Amino acid sequence: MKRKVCSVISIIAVLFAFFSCENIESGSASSLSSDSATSTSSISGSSSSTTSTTASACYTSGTPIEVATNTVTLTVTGDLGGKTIYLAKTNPTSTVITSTSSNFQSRCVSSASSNITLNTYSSSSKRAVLRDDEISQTPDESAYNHCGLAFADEDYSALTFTSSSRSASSASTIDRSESQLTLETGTTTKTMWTGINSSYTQEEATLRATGTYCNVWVVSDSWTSGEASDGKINAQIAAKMAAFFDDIYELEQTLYGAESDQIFYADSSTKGMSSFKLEDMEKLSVTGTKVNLVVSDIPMDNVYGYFSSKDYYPDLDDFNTMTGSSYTTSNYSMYSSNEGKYLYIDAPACVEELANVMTIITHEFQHLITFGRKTINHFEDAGYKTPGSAYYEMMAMVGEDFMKEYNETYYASDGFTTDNTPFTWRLPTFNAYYYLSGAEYRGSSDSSGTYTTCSYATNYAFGAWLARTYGGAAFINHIVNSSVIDYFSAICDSILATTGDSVTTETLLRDFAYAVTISKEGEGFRHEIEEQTSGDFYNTSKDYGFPLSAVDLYNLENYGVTATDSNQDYLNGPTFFYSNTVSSGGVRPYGIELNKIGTIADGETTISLTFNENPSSSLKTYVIIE
Amino acid sequence: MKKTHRTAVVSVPFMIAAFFCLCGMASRSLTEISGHIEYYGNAPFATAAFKADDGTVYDMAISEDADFTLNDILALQGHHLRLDGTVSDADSFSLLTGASKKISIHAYQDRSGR
Repeated sequence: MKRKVCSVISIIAVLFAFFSCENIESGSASSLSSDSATSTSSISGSSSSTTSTTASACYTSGTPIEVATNTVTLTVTGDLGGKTIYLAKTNPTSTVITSTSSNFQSRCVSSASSNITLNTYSSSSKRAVLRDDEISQTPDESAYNHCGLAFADEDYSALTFTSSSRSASSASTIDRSESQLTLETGTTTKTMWTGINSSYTQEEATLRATGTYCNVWVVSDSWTSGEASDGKINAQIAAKMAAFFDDIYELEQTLYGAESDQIFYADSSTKGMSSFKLEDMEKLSVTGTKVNLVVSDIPMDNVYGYFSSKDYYPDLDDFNTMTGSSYTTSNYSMYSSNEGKYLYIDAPACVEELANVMTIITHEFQHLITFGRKTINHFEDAGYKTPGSAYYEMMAMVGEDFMKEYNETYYASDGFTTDNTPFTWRLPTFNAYYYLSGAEYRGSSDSSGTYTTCSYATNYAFGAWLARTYGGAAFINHIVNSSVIDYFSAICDSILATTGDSVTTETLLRDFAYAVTISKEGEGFRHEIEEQTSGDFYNTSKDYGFPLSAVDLYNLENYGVTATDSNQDYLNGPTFFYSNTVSSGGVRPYGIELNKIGTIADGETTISLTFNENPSSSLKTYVIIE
Repeated sequence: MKKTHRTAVVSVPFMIAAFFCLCGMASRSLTEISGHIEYYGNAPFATAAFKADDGTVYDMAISEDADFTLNDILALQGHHLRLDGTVSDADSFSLLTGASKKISIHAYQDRSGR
């Protein structure tokens, strides 16, 4: 059963387990207000004899102070009175920095100078984070993961294919250029593969609406000639979908470039992914280059829509015909190709709230474009390459962001509001649980999809910050079209190409952590990208130039996010850990973790902070004072 | 005595040869790969693969004689792992990961924190 999209996730309390800088070894809290820092002894499990060091730094507003790995005591001087101290940790590597009691490699503050009022965890604190709310519910990610969850265990076995022996038969070519479907609304039917993964099935779908750029097909179980209800759409909804897709089609092409009009084609030499050929779409697709929206009840919870690259390949019969072989559904993974450009939309979602489906269509079409521009366009030079899932989902959600202003303006009468955009779908979740996933695609090893939902939130927030910081449309366009597949390499490369700024994964995460911690007018998330009125990223016919509105993580309601029972605690800034606590899950790959250390007394000009010794050399630690 | 000596001369080399032959049969030729789990492709088709430290991407399968499942390994996403297994060409049509190699995993080790 589908859930309301405005609900937000919450997580069982056990995930908020934490470790304290005081009790790593002895279990007892030390005095935290002494000038001669009563620091903890070295972390259990560490055998390093690294000499503890002190360091000093000058405070400059807007500049994080990096704390070196071997620094135990940091002294900061400057105009510090009345300011708040934060600790931002980042992990610019692909492996988690652990924080278990036997292998504590993270960092927090064990003591500080007496002129700091520390936010210290004590036994009377409800939780290890600076929030008063009780978290006891399992996540409700239905509204936030409309692309679907990670596979359950049994699905992986279905993906293991074995090679078959080929029987000798002659290969033939196929060309459907002259036998395209005649498209008559209400009459033309087509047998389609619907369903998902191990539940693919063939159903007959009827053409219910057409646009200049799209066809809308509806399977019989999802159709009604009366009022839309009970998970069945009608002519009005089908027409609305076609009109909306036609409207955003040119816009997404302006932003990213066109999707591919080529399809993978086979012959007798085709033995693997890299030995396909590319031909014009019409050779295999009876619907030519139009995008087909297939509406059915998608048999997977929380999946409201999807794109699958399988449709850019021959189906099983055509593949065997073209290659002269006898592959089967068990050893040819693209057997369920519908051969063409296809997006699949969940019928009940259309009935429940069409405005959400508009965002879903925007999102899935971005996936289709990415596959063309990232994989197909570079195929003949670079072979078959596919970006990681984090890249795919970040780009699609940022695509929703770029279309937000347009949809809120022109589809308000259809109920489209900020609550149908990633501002509402992702940012409260990011505020709450950013530390459970870095800028990675985190699969969930259970059916709840908890971690995957968190990874969507973090990837959107990261992408939203990147786009606002590094120039908006030009930057995103460059990423989509470059041949660089690796996530962070593509980002750094495109930033250099479009802005001239030389950045690294480390500096990006540092600056991202700062932007999450500190809310400043006109900076970071609150930096608005003005709408272009001419040039490459201005669509003349739609009069739209891809603005990105500012957003304040500390005041999401002010930016259109509706407060609900489940998200109201996460609209006013990110989760902070106490000065002396960290997440038991460690600092995730390409992730951040934030502590709110405390406040400095008025008029002070010198403070000192003492940290635990021997953190991971991969961990980057920054003191932020504002 | 002479007869015994001749027997020993014949037997010992045979025994030595048999020893090494049996050892060779008993030991498996396994490849060790260090790296981490990454997901490829758009959801809901996001598929886990193993990205080695040298950047090579491997599809993963579990050896028939393993006493663990793929989910046991996936639960270690984010950890630096060492996989011991048999490497072969990936299944011909690895749509989701684009991997050209596959590892059938016999054993694994979590090397995080080292």
